[in-house]
Amino acid sequence: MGPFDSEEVALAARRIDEREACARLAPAVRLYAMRRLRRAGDVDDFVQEVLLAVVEAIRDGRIGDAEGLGPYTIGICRNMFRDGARTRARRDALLHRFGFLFESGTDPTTGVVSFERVRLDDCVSRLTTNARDVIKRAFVHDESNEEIAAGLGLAEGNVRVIRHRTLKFLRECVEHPVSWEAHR
Amino acid sequence: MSRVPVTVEAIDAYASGTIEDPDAFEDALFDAAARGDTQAAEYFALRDGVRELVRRGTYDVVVTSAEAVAIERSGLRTTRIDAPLHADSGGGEVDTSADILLIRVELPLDDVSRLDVEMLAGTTLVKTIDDVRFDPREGAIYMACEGQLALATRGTGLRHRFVSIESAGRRVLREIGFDDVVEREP
Repeated sequence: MGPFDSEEVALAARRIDEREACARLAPAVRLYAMRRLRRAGDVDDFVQEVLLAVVEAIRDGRIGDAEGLGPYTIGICRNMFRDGARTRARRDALLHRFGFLFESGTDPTTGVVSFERVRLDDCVSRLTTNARDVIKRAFVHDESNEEIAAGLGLAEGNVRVIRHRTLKFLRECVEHPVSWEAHR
Repeated sequence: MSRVPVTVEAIDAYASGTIEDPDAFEDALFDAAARGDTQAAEYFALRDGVRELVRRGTYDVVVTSAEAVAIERSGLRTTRIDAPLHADSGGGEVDTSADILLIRVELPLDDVSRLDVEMLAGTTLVKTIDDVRFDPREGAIYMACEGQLALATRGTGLRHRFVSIESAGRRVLREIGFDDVVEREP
């Protein structure tokens, strides 16, 4: 083994951990950003900035173990949102160091979980018209519950209940075979 | 470790601004994510999946004629079955590798105010699509589904029953099978 091999092995192991950390945390960071920022580009930038800061903290040893990862990251989110975006130069410097984690095809912020389209199509077709409309307005048109309620002539509380029940149904439904399988 | 439950439904409540204690939920959300919990990723998978179905035109099972034309012009590979009013079966040559299957069904829609579509495997009701959209002036509805889902109905004796829901009860407008459909392998 050469003099740098063990360091390279350790570095490789650490990189895997960094990717894993980013993959795990990215959806949570995206949710945090979506609640506060309207533009999709701003959300993407915020997610990337937070994950870059997390990677930097892992490298610098400021996050010692997985236990500290969640609290540290929500802390970064809150600080970053309160203090405003970092300067472009600061972000570019971090991207220069850790940009390999965000290369095309290996972006840790997307694709952690996906469902088979055919299963989701089958599940969606089993929803009531109201349930389908509520989910479409929420997920595709980004309407608030108040806007959905006004658009469909429903009470806002009713929209909240439909939304909750429909997501629970879809979440469970996509785990099962399509409804025709039992009848073949 | 937080005891606030992190579920897809709770995440949606957080995202839509209706969760009771967002700060406590955020602590639980990030704690769960750091430990490898995938609920937030599943939430986005559902959200992105719904968006994808809407983009492809298959989110709503029954579409307007204008939407059917848009699907055919979308660049996705479509295949089509036609069911003229007096035929017992939908007919046509369908491409089994198509992305989307479109079915045009002629129906006597005069005096119909609410239309349900029932899907049967032989005589067994598999699912009901309630209160579908239609324009009675067109005398037909268009159904759109993912090609792979259509293939999943092979060998099930698939039948579609179209039911007018009226104050006096149900009135079956039409029931069709697909015995006359010819499959074309790519």
